[in-house]
Amino acid sequence: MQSQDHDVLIIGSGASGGMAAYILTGMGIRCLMLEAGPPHTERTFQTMPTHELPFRGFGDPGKVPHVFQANEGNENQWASEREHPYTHDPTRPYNWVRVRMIGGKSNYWSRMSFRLSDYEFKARDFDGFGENWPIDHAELAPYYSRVEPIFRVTGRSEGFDQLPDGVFIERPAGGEGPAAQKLLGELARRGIPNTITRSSSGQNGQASSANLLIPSALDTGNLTIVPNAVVRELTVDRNTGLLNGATFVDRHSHRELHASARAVVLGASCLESTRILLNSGVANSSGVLGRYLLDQFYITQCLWAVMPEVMDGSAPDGYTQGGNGYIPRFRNLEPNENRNFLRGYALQWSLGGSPGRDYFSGWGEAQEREVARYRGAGFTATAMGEVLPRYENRVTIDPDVRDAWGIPALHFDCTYTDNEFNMAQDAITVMEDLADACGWETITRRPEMFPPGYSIHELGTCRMGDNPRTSVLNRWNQSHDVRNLFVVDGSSFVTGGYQNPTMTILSLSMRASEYLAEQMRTGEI
Amino acid sequence: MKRRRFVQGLFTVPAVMAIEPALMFAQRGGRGGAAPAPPPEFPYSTPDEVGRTVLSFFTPDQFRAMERLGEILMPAIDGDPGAAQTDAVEFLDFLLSVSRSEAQQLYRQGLDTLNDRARAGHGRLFADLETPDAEVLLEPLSRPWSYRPADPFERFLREARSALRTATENSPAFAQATGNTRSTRYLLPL
Repeated sequence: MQSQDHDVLIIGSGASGGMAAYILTGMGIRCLMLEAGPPHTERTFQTMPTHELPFRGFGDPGKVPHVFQANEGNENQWASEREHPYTHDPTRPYNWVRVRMIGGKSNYWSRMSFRLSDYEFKARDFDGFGENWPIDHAELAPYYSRVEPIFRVTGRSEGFDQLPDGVFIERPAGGEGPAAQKLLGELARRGIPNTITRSSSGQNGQASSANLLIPSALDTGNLTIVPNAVVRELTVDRNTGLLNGATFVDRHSHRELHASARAVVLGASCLESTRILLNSGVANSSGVLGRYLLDQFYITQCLWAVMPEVMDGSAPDGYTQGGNGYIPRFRNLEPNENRNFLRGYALQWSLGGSPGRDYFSGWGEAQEREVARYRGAGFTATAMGEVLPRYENRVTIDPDVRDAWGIPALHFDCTYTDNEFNMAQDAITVMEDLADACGWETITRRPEMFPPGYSIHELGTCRMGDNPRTSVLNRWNQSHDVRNLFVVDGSSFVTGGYQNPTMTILSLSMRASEYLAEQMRTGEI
Repeated sequence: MKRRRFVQGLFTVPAVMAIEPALMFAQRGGRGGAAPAPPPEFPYSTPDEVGRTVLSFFTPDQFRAMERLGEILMPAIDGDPGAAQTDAVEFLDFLLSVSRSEAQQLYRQGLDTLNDRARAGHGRLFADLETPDAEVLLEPLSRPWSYRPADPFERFLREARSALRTATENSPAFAQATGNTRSTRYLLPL
């Protein structure tokens, strides 16, 4: 069969690759999308007696040991570390969580949908650390405003500078029971903002690339999708120095093939895109490819307090109703706050949960009685903090380890520092103070964070900037070195903020794709 | 005669295949054939109904210490079986045998520490201690919870307490004894 040439090769079918296909095909550009995973977009479950599971609910210990979110019920959704190995120093773990299927991680994300603000885009101007993005919120806002309706983001407009409002399906205020009202009162007394979570409702219970973006791209007749195509490297035309396509490996047969295109859009996820670039030996005249790896540190259940008035099932009906909310960053919004950390964090809180059995001392019947007393009486939160972009935090190619298709694997060298540790400690202190003020008893504190990567918000390593000596991409997500290469996933981030990044990734991909289309129309590419 | 039939067979089989190779797969429903009948449903048994786990991870002393730990931390309560009645330790022996080295080391060192402290205090292995004496050695479980205790022995005890509970409650014996079968929504491999 004669192989087809395409205008644009899109690598990856998740949020960023899906958005690139959505935009480019809609502008009449013929795209080929290579996805490393299988073509499934549905999640097929079988209800099984837990005692008949191969590992009785513990999960296969060697399959996804770094995926703390995994259990035996869902472990097949994650990329197996047996096939997809990576390395790190044993004392410096990194949790690299991957999904390989059409739609990628967008099939499973939490749907938290936030914008970055100029506290992130222009962070250096504010506190002097790191670099600014070459763009600001005003420049990206029109794209956010087009992405949010596609994903049908629900939220409440608040007018916060540190969390810009979007085009929301507005959710009215109210419905908080007595416990939530008590907490909201204490927050207001301290000048700490609060809102509801902003979330993509999507369509038919799903908000993924696979149901919101790719179908429209296919409807144009301009998209060809090849699943099970594991990209090894990008290829360069020696005469022009431009990319001319990519080699890929068939996942099943391991046969190697080459696909040609006029331009390449990398949207394979932050670190897979960087891995492909490192293995290809392109786009790194700056020497910063792979550097400035960051994410957000997450501490789930950073504190548990209990409401005495709810213990032993004593609360009146509706007491903990409306018991959840989202506290956006409130630290370091003013210059010279003089804290022992830069930037800030968010807290997603909930009332009415049950502290887990492990939090209670002892064992047997005595422990059971304690667990029962506190059931439904909990107050807890997840702390989500900004991680500073540091030159030292990086990925490289491990020359000694390859994946199941013979492609060299990544090596991670990434740690958190006192800035993150101090920020986490501040979050615990704030939570405990709130609990005390509400008359709730703190039973556990957890200032220790999970290893980097746990939030599944890996960012950076291919950052954008105006200076080709200190950045990999320009303000349009276009390689400084190779003008027909665009990298549209989270790897382009300069700072990460405390906000979940998907809306920003989608908006950047939309913006970059329209720029690419214009470049192709004018013959620049 | 027999030899001639054999030689004829050598030549006739390829000829038949060339004419209609699908005949070889006729039981799967060939072109124009009737749909195959659904396969009969057999009454299968599970491995646990017919066999015991072949132990490979714990040493004999470690295994006995783990069993004793199971008796104390996950006893039978209100008629529900405990670790001892559900072969929980046998299953954990398997699970640890395929686990990462960090987990293996945590359990080995933790169980050896239990036995060392039992010997030092009472001149016997942990498995042979009376319950009050054994419970004294489990004092770290009375400390306030922390995410990652600095004391590896405390970390081991917390891990073991949780694992013994899961292995007990998710065992076939527990489901059979209580009639309360837990279920899991299992995502099939992609």
